[in-house]
Amino acid sequence: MPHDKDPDRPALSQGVPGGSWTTQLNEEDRVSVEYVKTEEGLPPVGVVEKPRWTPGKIVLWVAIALIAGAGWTMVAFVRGENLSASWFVAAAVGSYLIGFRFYAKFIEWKICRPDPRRATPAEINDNGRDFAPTDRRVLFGHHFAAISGAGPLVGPILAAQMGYLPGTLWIIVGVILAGGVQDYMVLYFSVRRNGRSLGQMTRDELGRTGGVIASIGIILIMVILIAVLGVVIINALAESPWGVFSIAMTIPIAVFMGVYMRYLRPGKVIETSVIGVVLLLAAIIAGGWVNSSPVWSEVFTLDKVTLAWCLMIYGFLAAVLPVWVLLAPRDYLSTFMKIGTIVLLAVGILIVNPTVQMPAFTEFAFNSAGPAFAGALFPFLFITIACGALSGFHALIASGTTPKLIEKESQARLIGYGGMLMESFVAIMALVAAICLDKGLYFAMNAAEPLTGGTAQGAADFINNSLGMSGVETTPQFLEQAARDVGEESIVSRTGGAPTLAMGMAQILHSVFGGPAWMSFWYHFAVMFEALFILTTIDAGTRVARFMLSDALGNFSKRFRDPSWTPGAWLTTAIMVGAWGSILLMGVTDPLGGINTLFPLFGISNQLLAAIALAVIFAIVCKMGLARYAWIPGIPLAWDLIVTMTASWQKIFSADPKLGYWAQHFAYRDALAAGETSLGATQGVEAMSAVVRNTFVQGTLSIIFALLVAMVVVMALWKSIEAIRKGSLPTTEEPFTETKLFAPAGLIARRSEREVQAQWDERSGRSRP
Amino acid sequence: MTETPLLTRVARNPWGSLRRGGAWLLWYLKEIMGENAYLHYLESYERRHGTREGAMGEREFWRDHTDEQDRNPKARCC
Repeated sequence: MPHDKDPDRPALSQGVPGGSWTTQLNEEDRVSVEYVKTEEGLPPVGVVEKPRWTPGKIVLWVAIALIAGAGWTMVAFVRGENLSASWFVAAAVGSYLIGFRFYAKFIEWKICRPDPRRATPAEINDNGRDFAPTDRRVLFGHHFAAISGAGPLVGPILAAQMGYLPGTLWIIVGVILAGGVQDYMVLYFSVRRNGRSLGQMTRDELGRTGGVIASIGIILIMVILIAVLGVVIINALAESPWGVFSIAMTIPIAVFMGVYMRYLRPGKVIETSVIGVVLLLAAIIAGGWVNSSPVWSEVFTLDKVTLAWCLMIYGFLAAVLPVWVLLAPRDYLSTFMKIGTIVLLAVGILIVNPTVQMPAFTEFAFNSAGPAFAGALFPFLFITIACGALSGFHALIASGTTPKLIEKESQARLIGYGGMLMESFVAIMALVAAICLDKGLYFAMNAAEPLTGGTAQGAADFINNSLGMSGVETTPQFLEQAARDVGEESIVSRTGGAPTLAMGMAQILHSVFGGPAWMSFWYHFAVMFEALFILTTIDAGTRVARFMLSDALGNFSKRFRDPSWTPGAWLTTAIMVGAWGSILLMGVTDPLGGINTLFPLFGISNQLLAAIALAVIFAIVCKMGLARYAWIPGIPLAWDLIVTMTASWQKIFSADPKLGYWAQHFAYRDALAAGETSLGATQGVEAMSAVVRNTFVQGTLSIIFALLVAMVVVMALWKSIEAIRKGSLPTTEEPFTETKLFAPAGLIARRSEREVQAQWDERSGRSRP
Repeated sequence: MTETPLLTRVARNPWGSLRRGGAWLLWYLKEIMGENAYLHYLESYERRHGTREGAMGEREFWRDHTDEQDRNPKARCC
């Protein structure tokens, strides 16, 4: 068989001495197995199987397709009165498996072509630290823990206002065609480039200017992200003594864990985390006592502005203190809670199998009058869901961090694409938690305060009379009871998604664990775990942004390059905290509700970052001379650009003051100039000036983001056209180094892989679990 | 070389399979949480230097391991 014509064979690097292929045909499985060796005397370093369709495999994949098809039929077409949540799980998991096995494999064959003989950066630069070969299953977990956070939980909840179908469709289709593709290819290309970061890759592939623009974009986007996540968590904590107390307790708990691990029991990570989690659960229970004590509940009832200042002080301290005090132990706690809660929620949904309350489409899918976020389905549904289907931020983890740990190029599909599928599944679970809530309750929680007046009576009046959606009714008694059930004073206008998710989780989990008396525990448990995620993102994000800023300032004054120079560290941290803090304050004091105006900015910036990543991938594929497959990153790139640029355009130019930042800006400015003291639901000159100020900042940021990204995309297209004209262009791939290491490719090792593994284990005297 | 299918192995020796499954879960939890970091450091040191002589002690390693995040912070996602 001539090797170079075999489409399944990985591209062999040219001019490399040594190496051999041995092909064996295993008659029993009808699989042709090729053993790849790099050095005589060593066992094979790779196993390449050319799959044959056996009857068993055909039956398996037909069954998976049928399950997915049944799920989609029930969700999209039948839409019965008693649609149960398990159909969503069937549609999602079935589609994920098909996407992973066929589409991701197709990308692997046509573009990536992992070379079993090529050593990865982890093997070449192994330093036992940031470069270290890591077991694929472990790296999958680490990568997933690093990419998942509050984003995929919050976005789908807000998107539920349009009904369940638009959100479900985009989360599942989006991850297969866009999110998974981005994560996989960024990871793969970074592995081939010594684990370089997205910013560095942009500079290398598109030139210096492109790199600088991308880096500025990344810092700005990071600031917005932190600020909006801050607004989300403050909305969940404001006027909630229970929540504030239990979150505040995480600080002494983390410091205790830090001291424990530093001085008493170094390296006892699980022991320390278990102690931490037990203390955390105790803090949630103690929060209930605080809530019922008139004195203490007074102390811990904080308004949004106070909380915003607390968050800024906390963010500053967490970024300048040594990591062992606060950040490292909090990270352990957050990882532990992340795994635990996601498993708990999955088990809860499967056991309880709740019935969907929300219709497939609501009126808000066809107009732009939804209370949770402004804007029509196109483009704002895609902007709002963001992380669960396509997240630009993942490109920062998939380049720079994970590629330095991967053992084999062939594992990139599992870790990049597979990790993103998991993230999407979390988004589906969040969506299920929201759509199974009572509709009245959902809209009472997600309508901004100017609409509901912040009272149960006001919310009921709003929903019954002016929501603009049929079939939703509620009473103030029902809303008050719902608040009492979860141990809160009120649940009206708790926007931002996090409280709604907590309510949904409490509804599901209390029916499995603990009964009605545990509703309030589960609610605050869910709030706590979201707060942990978000605080971890805020600490780590501030720290990373500070390093990026010192790097940039290092061009002007060399002292900033030295991370141990305290004044520099303090100054750069203060600048970064000031940047996100001012947007945070703006969000929490916004007279129009904050979340509904800021969340689109968060989504747009995240999706614009994805556009940068996809544009760079697109250029690399063209430079490799594979322009005929450039449609693979091209489809998500084009779609993402259409969505983000339309959304930016509407945010900048729309004449509808509900949608356009500038339309709103001028409407309020003109009203002020005319001497009016109220406009719409905004009362008073001060509030009106705040709107003028906020819309100015939001509008300016929208323009800057869109321009930065447009420049990067134009540069990428320019390079791609040049590459297509010349056939191909040199890329910045690192030279080939031969591997002396073996590892299976997929999550579960194949039989031939286990056999080779056994040979290696025999050689080293160690065995892999 | 032929292998016994998983289900047959479980049916023959359910308790052993359960114990192995539990051990695997514990191993996975330790790996995910990072408890095995020192072990991996020693392995990596041995690969690079051919000996474990001169590697950091456990206490020293954990201190350095944590402080490394001060010098080289990693982003967490949304």
